[in-house]
Amino acid sequence: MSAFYRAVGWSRQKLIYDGLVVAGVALYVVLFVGTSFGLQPDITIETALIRGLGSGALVLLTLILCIGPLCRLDPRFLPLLYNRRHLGVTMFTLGLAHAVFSVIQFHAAGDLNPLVSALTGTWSVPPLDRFPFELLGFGALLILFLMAATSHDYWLATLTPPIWKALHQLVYFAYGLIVLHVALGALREERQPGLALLAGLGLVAVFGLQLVSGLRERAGDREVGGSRSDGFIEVCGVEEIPELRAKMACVGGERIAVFRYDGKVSCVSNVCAHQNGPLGEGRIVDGCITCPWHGYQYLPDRGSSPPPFTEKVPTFNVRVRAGRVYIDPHPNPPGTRVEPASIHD
Amino acid sequence: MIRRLRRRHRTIIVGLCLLVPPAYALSLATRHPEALTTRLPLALSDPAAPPWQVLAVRQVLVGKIVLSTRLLADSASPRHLVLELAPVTDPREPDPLVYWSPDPAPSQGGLPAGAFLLGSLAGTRIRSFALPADAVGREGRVVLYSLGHQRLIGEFALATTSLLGTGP
Repeated sequence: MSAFYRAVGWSRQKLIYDGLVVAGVALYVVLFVGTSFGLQPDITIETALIRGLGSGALVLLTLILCIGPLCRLDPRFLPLLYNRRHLGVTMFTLGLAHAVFSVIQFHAAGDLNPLVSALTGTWSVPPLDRFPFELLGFGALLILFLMAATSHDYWLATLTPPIWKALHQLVYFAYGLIVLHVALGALREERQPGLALLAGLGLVAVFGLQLVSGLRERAGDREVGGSRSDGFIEVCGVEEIPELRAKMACVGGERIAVFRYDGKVSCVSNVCAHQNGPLGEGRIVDGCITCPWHGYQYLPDRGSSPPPFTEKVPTFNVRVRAGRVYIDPHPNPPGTRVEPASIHD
Repeated sequence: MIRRLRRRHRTIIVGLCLLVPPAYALSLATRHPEALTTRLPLALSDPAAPPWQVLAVRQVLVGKIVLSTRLLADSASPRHLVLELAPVTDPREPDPLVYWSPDPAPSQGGLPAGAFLLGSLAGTRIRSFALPADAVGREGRVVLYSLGHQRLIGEFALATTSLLGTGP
């Protein structure tokens, strides 16, 4: 979170995160190339490198797609989410290096333009042995390029979070294309069952975790059915809200977060202004609601970030009656101050 | 707003779950069997395998490539034939492939119809190829084809009739 423009808001955590990512990727590629030479003495360094970079990108993408649902299922994975975009850019870089080296290695020595050769070399679709798997990889690379190019907060603010997130949901299509690129390419020649099994396990992990967390999220989207009083809807009991934490509920088609702190209750939208993170899964730190994803902060009674920051989220009018919390389902404009309700009323 | 995004996310995931895993499984299930030649060197190098009887030895000129050839038969099963090729000179052709053609007439430039792929002849080391059952006791041709240049390199006749004494 920063009040002024900075290309990348480096912090100690980001530096450690990125250092570990770069070291992990380098170690993977070195181990992959070394193991390839051990298992296949005839392999060339170029081929081993192309395979190492490609498989590294797939492993990283699998990990990236597992981080989101893992965080929904267990908050202990949240530190992995903090800098996930850098992980994504690293993965794109590996994929791009794999593509460039492949085109040079397999298509640059002929009369034809290497790109034309790569994308038109195996156009005969049936049988699957000659499926143009390069096109699948190229399609995935285009999507990943689009995502990497718009990964900066500048594009997040310019496109607005809903459009930016819709754009970045294309990553699932990219993953599908890459899995089929591998299945119809490398795995048609490489017969070791371990490779097909590993790729299959990655597939099961990604879609399994996404389905489980998606079903769990669906349950959270059910509208609260509490009693009504003067247009206010009962959402929960005060004792259900842990101190300095929130209870989430779905009201008027969107999720809200009811925070309890210092004997008071305030209610804001559950959607962080930065990247639509779930504010209700965060906690109050130094008097501010703190988003669990990237640490953006908001004053609970105003829904606005403390000066000099300018982020704002909608607030909701709130009442406490006989230990029960009631919410006006109509949101106030972002940043509108609402008097917190005392839990002793 | 965000709820709509979540719904779209669920739709995408469910849709891809129905498409990608079956396509992945289909791709693995339709992989062609491994090339026959990969099985042959094992048989030849297997110390427990029966001794191989040399039926014929000759040197042939195929295009600009000089090949030393040996035709071998399994002593225990004489109808199991193996063709051994040793390039005397470097083929200097990209991806040369070896085919057996049942047609005894010389080819007309392209790869003969019904040609049977025996394997690759890259480099100068000795290669052994199992001949198909159809090649036993008949006249055929061995064809060298450059996959890189998509053209016929050359060919030579291979008649096994007189060597085995009987027809198929």
